[in-house]
Amino acid sequence: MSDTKLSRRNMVKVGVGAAIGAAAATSAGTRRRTSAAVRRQEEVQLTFAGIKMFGPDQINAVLRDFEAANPGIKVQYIELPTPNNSTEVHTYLVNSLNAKNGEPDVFTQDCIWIPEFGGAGLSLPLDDFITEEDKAAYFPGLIETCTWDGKTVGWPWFVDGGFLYYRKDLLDKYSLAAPKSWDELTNAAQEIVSKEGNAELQGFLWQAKQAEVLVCDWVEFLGSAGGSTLTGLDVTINNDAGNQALQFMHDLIYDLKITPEAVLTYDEEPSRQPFTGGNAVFLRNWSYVYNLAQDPAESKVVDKVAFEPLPHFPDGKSTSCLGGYQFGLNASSKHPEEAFKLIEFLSSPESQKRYALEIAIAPTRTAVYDDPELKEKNPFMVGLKEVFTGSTPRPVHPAYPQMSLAMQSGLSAALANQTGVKEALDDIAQQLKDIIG
Amino acid sequence: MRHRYSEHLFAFALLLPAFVLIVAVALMPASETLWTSLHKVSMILPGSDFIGLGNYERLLRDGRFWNAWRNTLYFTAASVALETLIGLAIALVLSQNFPLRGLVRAAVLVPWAIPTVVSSRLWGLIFNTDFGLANYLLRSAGILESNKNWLGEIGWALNVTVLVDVWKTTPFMALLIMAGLSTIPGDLYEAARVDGANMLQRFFQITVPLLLPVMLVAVMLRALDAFRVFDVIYVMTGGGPADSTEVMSTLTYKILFSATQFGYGSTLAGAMFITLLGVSLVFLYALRNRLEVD
Amino acid sequence: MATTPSSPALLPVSGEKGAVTVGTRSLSSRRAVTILGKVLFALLALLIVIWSVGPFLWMMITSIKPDRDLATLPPILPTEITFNHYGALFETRPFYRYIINSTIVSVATTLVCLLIGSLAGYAFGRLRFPGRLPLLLAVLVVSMFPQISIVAPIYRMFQQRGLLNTYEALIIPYNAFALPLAIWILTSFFRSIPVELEDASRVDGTTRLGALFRVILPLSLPGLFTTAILVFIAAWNEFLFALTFTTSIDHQTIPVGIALLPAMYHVPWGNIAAASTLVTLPLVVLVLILQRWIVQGIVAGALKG
Repeated sequence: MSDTKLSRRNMVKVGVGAAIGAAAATSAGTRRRTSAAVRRQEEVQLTFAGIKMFGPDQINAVLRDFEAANPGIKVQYIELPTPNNSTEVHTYLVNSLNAKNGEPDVFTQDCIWIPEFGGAGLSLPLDDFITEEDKAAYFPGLIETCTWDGKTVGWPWFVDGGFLYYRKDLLDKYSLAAPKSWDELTNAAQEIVSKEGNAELQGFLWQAKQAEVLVCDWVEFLGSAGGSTLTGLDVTINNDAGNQALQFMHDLIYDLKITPEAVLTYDEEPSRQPFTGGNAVFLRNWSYVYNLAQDPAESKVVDKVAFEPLPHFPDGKSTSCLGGYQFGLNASSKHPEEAFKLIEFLSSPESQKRYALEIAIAPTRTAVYDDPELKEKNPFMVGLKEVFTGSTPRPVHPAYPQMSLAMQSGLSAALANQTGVKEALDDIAQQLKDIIG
Repeated sequence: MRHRYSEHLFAFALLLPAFVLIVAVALMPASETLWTSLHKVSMILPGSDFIGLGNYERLLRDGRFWNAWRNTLYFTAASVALETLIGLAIALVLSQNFPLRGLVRAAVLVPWAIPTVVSSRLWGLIFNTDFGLANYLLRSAGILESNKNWLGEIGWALNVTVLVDVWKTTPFMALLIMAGLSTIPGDLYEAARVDGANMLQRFFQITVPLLLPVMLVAVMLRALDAFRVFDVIYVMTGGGPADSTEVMSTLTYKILFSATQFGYGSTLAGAMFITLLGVSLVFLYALRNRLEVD
Repeated sequence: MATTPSSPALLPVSGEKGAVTVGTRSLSSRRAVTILGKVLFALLALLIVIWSVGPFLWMMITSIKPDRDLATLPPILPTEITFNHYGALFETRPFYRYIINSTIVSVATTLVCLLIGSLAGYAFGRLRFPGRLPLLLAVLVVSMFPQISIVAPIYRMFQQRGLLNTYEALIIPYNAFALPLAIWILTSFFRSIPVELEDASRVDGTTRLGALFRVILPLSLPGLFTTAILVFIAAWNEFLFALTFTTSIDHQTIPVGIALLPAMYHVPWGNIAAASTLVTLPLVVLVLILQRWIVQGIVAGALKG
């Protein structure tokens, strides 16, 4: 399935070829015409597989600008689904990169897949194209995420992270400050919910659906207790910090009762809707929520929402899970140099500023946050710089997706009362050890 | 003798186009998957070792597999049984003459016409704990005292996905049974009535036996489909909470495309194949007389 | 509606000959039973309609609610009606393009599948040849693999043939996956047609193929239309292959178009509901047209003649 090492495969291909040859004839004609056209103009044709952001037009506009700046290179845009369909994006990349025919030349990938494609030799190390100076322009956490086995196998595009959104109007009403610790958050939520007398009002919403987002929330709770899933290649998920974090997540639902049991089914949107509908005090979510909360068509809490870094335990520090999509260069690309030119263009300061202004995605170059125009037009985003500087990656390992599945299943079991907290963590730890080998 | 050979040749000629397609687009890729299932191969590790049935041995010891296998069997049995009963009821009603029948028939097909990806989301909203229509209606009617966490509660989540699947695919059953009913000659009922058979007798002595072959085929096709359920689960629960809605397809998808363990993932696909081959053989045995050419 | 001589009279009410067998009772009590039966029957029909259409109506209501009201209940009915969601579908990109693509792919799939499926169904249902049962089983093998496990091999195959991002890339696999359904249904329908009818036409000198097209197919119209509806809608709704094998709006179908509506994490449920309403209505109309042919008792009529 992964490559052409199995000799039987070629046999299969020949057979299939004979069988559907007739059907293929028509479109083979189309293909020949296209390649003839390419030869005539002596152009390099690149393909760029990028996730859909807000509309297709912004990305296309940037690509056209690239073509204008680089005569002789044409770029075809393959639109992949949005990040909330990240599994489909991953599937597309697994299929197309493993086909090893050089398409797409440049692709966008969730930061958690970078070591995976890098370790499998499917994305090209970029070290010949870049210098240490280039790397220094970006958030250090992102460069760490883009590096596997000492090689730079991805290049930053945009960054995201988890924050605490809260209802400023409600906190003000009861003279409460934005919480810095989990205790403060708990007390504030309990006080407001009991005094408001709104049966629909929830204290604190986060995401515990058995999905990738559960691991993101976990990284944040765990970091806020001073722990981490892996320390180097040692599994440290089931130490005291781990137990404290998972026990707290469990308590939020069943003991402190400021989080409804429904979070067990929530990913990003189901948790966002009650908050912008005016029915939650606190929400953990990504940066996309802020603009929605300020949009009168979407939100009942316009101008009533503020954000802070997530709270922490006495022993830990506020932690934001590092997210975002980054660029990759297909190892089978027939035009790696032109392809890197495209990556360079797409991640240039000018392009990053443009994304930040036009489609509100956060720059990975630290200098862009100091841009006066951006400061004026999107102060919210500029305010995030501090959070992104300290954001925490999920375990950086080629087998991360496999680890994530084990964590999703184990954490969900503990939160749904199928197993005890300690038991769940020990079980996850054993699975992670087996995966690392 | 020559006549029989020409009939054989004619039959094979008629089958050729169908088999070319099936072999090229389904059987070849499937045998490739089966072949891969005999290897230890994953995207992130170099090489590919032939390990015979090693992956299958591992499968038998894998708790995740057995959990998904049980959930899938439960899902299939529950949803196909409900669909058959409801589908039969709907088909019987829609075979009668009544005003606006055409509209009602079209209405019945609406669930089948909504893309599964969308209908799963729609039902996800309806079963939302806090602002879902289901909780609202049940509370208004006094059936529920407080909001129920339908998709977050082990024991309920899988049953809710069964309900959604039943809603979505009952039209398939109803339509096939309706078409089956239409081939039963009306004269038979006439004759039975003359002989004094009552409604129930007519149903069990004419309708049921004559409908059985079509129904068995419909049940088999639905069972093969329900066993591969993917979208409903994937969109509504992602397999959770605590793997309580994990089915074979979602597990296979996770292992193949998230964990990129191509060998072991193909083994899961192989296990589905073996299970369904068994199911099909049972149906084929039940149908063998109905399928013989006299 | 055409006459339906064969409508099996199984329930208390069925038009002209739906009288319940109540021979010994008095006329007035018989009438009472009939009326009661009619009411019960109407209630049953209503229940069926609510069960089928209720959730769809809920989606339609959602599609005209402003987004900010989506996460609160009550009210059930919108306090404010907006058509922004429908407008938004055509603002960012030509949504009709997906509808055209889906129509082309689904119609082609249905026609090819009915043709190929009928030929095979005739062979399985009417002809004697070695290996019938194993071959019938082999047809089903298609339905024994999770589609996700064979997407990758098909993808590579199409890529080598330059078939990616064409209509064929969808029509070919849709046909392969719809064929088991078509073949099994048509086989069982063809078998239910009395052999005498075919023999009669053969005596008149018609070839076997001629008999298929002139006798068997017309008599199997309910089966053919049923199969057509099932195959058409399956192709109309398929997501995984469409997502994997097509990468631009030139060939992408509706489910992919709907999946591409969200932006980042934000799922514009109002827009999705509007899109789904929009693409479901033509199917309802289609079914309304086709369903006339589904149940007509053609076999019975033919036998009488």
